Amino acid sequence: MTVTTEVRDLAAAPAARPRTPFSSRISTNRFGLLLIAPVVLLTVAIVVYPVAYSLYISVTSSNPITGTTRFVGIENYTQALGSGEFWRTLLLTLVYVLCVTVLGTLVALGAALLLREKFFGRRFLMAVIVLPWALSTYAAAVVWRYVYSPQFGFAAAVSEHAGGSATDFLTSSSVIPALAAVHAWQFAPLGAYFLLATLQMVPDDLYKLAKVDGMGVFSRFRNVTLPYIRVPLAIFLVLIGGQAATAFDLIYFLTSGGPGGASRTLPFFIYEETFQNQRLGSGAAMSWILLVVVVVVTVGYYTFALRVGGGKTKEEDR
Amino acid sequence: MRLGRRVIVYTGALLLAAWTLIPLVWLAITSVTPGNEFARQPLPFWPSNLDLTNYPRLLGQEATTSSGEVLAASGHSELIVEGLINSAVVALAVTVISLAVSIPAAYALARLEVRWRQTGLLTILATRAIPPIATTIPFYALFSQLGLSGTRTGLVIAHLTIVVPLLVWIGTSFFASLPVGLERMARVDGCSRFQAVSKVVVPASLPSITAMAVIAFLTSWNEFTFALIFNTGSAAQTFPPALASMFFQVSVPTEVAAATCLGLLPPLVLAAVFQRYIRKVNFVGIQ
Repeated sequence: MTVTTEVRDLAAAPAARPRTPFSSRISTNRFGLLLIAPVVLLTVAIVVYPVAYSLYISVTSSNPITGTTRFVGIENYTQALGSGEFWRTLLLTLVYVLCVTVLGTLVALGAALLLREKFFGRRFLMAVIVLPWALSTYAAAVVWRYVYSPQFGFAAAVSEHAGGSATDFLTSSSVIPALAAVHAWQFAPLGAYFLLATLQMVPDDLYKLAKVDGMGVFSRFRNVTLPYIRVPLAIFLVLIGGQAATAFDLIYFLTSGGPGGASRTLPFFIYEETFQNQRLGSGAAMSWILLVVVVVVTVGYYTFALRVGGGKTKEEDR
Repeated sequence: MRLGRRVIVYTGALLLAAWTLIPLVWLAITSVTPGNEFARQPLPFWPSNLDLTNYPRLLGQEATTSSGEVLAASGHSELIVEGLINSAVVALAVTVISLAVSIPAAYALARLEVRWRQTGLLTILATRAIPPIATTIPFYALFSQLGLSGTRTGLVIAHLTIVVPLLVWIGTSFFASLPVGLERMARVDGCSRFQAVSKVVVPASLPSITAMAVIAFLTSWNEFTFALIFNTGSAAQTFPPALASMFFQVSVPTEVAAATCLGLLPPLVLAAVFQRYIRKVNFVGIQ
């Protein structure tokens, strides 16, 4: 008797309750899609639509005075690809990306290797290096205006105290490395934290063994540290490279593309073309070319870096 | 530690601290340096007397110098104060909305067997690769038609396009790191599926959600490109474009330095307070 009652109770239980919560009645898949739905809607509304719209703009030409728009096909693209200024700015962008990547990686890796050590003030330094990252690039540019200025800059104060005269860092020959230093200052902390997280997983014993084997500092870095951080380093390079390739605010604040176009990288050129010359179609076409270049380089590099990294670990396994 | 190694480590630490802090400290010093100090040769590292008048003047008040002279409020005070208020309103709205939509989505992508999960993650990654200057053009055209340019609402929408993918990405990698079976235990204890998330998973994730909120706020507060293009000169102008217009008009460096310090204080304080949480955030990969 008791057995049947129990069975009956169990069977009756769901019906006896006022109702099962809606979220528990539907399948996992539906529940998941329900949670994702707002982001999907938002993404469609605010990402997919503008991107499609920008594709459309890139094949039109509009007259800012009459307000008329006409379809021109791929003319905006061919015009950009045929213009010397476009290629010059693209090349300058590549140089800028290289400078930022090299400087930023050196600072990030140096900081990560340093913070792996135990020393007095380490916690303070760990906390302090987050500050440039918190500022974003536009603010970093304003801050560094006060380092570079020949009239009131920190660099001028240092060189005057040393007996020299104030130098202008933003001349046409030095402007790209000077801008790259600012970008590296802002972005390296993220890389430092990221690389440090991986470095802390390298067992100390490995270094001791390597020392016993008579390896020097550089050999230990190459053979012990590098295999561990190869993949995170590759990811960081992609991130910082992408950031540098699309940098606009930093250049706007520090040089506005000057002097004489010496820092007019492609994103800044797109800004001028679109919002100063009011040629939306041409600007949109160039940003699509930039996007394609960034994506192709990123994917290509990423696959290459991961394959090289993957190959290395397989070798070690054998 | 051997002596040689110790010397290298401490030299490196000093260099890193100097590289990080000197630009910020110099900006703060410049903001309290009297204008006539810049004529001195060599340029002093520390002014012979401090001039604190820039700050009250930028906040719209009169200020008395050390020599007893009364200075009127800065002509840019309205610009800066309104910019700070607009930035705060926009950043708060972006933080609340982006958390509300990102947390459920990130949770679902990380912990549920959802169809198209991989596609969803890749799409989010792809949207992060779009250069902001490329999306400004369609937004510019669209906002002009809808009457959204020069409004806070428009800027909030524009900022969401950056912040939501970032938060979903960070959140997914975080929720994926929680112990397996957390929800199952909650369900056994009688929670509904929704309650398992809201009463168990979310409270267990509070440090990461705090970090996500801080990152959302900082990203919006610091955003420059959209703010410059959509809202420059409007009543809804946020701090970055307000600072830009002051930056390119004013030749006195001290006043601009003080305005910059005012605008940078919120992100610096937030980042310093919450740096332990931010440091643990995985901006990059997903296991």
